[in-house]
Amino acid sequence: VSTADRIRQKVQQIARELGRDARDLTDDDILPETGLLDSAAILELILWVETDFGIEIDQGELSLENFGSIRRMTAFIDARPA
Amino acid sequence: MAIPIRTPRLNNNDDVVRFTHVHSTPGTYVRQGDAIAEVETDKASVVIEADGEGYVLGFAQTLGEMIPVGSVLAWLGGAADEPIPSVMAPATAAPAGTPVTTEPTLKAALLLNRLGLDAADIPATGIRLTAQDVLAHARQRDASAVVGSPGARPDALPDLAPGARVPLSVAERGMLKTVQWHRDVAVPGYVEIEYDTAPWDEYAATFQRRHQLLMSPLLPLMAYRLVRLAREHPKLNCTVVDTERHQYSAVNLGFTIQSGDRLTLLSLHDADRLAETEFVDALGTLMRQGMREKLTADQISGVTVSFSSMSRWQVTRHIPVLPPHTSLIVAHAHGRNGTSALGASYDHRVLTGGETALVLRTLAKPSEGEGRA
Repeated sequence: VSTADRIRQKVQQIARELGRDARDLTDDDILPETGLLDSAAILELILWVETDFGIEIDQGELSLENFGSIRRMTAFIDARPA
Repeated sequence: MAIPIRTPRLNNNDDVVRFTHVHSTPGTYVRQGDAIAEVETDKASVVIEADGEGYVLGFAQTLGEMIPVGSVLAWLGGAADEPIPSVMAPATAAPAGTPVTTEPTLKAALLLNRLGLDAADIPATGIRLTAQDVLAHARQRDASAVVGSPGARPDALPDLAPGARVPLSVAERGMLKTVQWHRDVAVPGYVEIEYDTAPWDEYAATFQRRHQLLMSPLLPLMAYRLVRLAREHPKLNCTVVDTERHQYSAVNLGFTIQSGDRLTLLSLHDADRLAETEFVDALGTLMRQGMREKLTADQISGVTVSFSSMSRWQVTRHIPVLPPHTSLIVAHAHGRNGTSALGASYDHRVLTGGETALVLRTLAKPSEGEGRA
């Protein structure tokens, strides 16, 4: 399973828990703009990334550029050694 | 009778360990196996658990510091307000695997206290005096001393249907303490206003774009507005002690987060000393630590004014419980059609409904200065 697939599945799961449908989300959609995940849900996603991919993310790295979309997240994670 | 919990040895080479976490804050009722604190060396980290039930009375060491193995780390007692012994020198480090004292175990000490017995009168069968030793002695002396004694806990209330007792978790006990303070000490009131959400939404969106933030800063920005109001209006940042108002010198913001099924009130100390961007960053960092459940005692205590939101659950109105020793908690809710309800629970001993409504009116809009952030 690719990094992008894992992230997509997690986003869909969190959205589902909030009663929202993220199946149409594309890899380039800007997550905060979709309204699918609120701030707490994005935090949950970031914690999952840290745990599941075994990486530590500094507060300063939590930017739209690094985590704004599934594609950006994938690039950030794949470029980061575990 | 306060019982010491001593710092354990983690390995043979380290005579000191770092005190890294507080799991049960002073006043918390713990049972055997509940996590109290955590210590670590370069090689290992250990959660220190209660070896019996009782109240955490306090910690004898400073969080974050290196402390000697065998020293008193914390005190447990039979009542939350029991005094902690004033002088207790750290014990000499003991060889690995050996007990550092011959004092009663926590269970034994609580039992001694309950039965009014003196440890010195009871022979121990091992290195420490155990509850079994105490019980055996008491039965020998007077079988009725245990069963039916005034201090004995009833096993079940007579009017309850059959069932099982499930101990409350640390978080649940914290919530119990909070709601009991709200019910028994404060004189709580609640007021609410309707407000136009557009100014705050626009302000937060501008702030987010400008700082390229991943998460909406709306709630932190509103909370920061509350912090500034609390600094300007001391009655928002105080509590009542006897017939006096205890005015807090700093604004420590309480901010609720939900992590899994756990509701936590984070405490951002000295929030009034931070600039807006610093505040948003500091609260974001604290929220991440809260979600990881890696909080220190300071980060969950000492709150002086609070902000709570249930907008993520689409809740359009909620009446929050006042955190202990505070006079105000603001309740943010989910908006509809460009308007929303902004409410607050307040301690009527300090604030009136009118004063609280004025606070909410002010809080409902970003300030002029903030609008240019």
